[in-house]
Amino acid sequence: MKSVVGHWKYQRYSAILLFFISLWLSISIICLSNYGYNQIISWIRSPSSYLLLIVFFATSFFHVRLGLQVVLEDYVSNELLRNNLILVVKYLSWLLTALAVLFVLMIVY
Amino acid sequence: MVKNKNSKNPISPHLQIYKPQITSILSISHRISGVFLSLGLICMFGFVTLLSLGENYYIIWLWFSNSILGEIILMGWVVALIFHMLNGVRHLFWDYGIGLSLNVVKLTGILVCFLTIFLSFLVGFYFLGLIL
Repeated sequence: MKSVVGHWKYQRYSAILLFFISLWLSISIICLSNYGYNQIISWIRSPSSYLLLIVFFATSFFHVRLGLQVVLEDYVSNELLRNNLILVVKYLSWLLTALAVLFVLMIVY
Repeated sequence: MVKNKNSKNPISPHLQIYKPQITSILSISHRISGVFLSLGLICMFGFVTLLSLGENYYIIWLWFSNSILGEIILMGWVVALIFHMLNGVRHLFWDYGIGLSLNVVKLTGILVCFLTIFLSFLVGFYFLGLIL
């Protein structure tokens, strides 16, 4: 994220969104905790579940990326290492988001 | 850092010199829980991966989540998530300029601590089958 103001804003927007999705997901996981493989699969296959799950993964990896960037900026003093680590986190978050969406859709179809 | 060392400017004192306070403890805990939760997200990613690969691979998840170490790690993520969410709400209110006076900051800090402990025990007892 190049713009500092943009980083600050998107960290908050994603936090607000994640608060509600995490609440939903936590309650769902608590309700599903005694379920077996087939029941979990059929839960994910309902549109409200898999769509929210995809939004959860995308928003979470984005929020993690922004958060880890701040941590790296504050604690890694070597500039070259710091910038490279931020790039690694950035591309890894995109990659894992894409894979997570793919795996969720694999369960659905 | 290197530049500061060479200049004659005084450097800021090391963190250990400050007395730990609720404000500083919760601030660093927010970061630590955040970094810890990013590992939890990768674990969750692993869970969905195993689910999508089929029932034969899902056994790996059951083996992990039923082991003592797995249960401790999962419970750690529960505690971290509850804390990070509660303290995150506090941060969002601050961004709107609400609750910034020192007394309120201390009060909401203590509230976050107690709520984290209470909700963690609630979820923990539920998973142990002791309630509901």
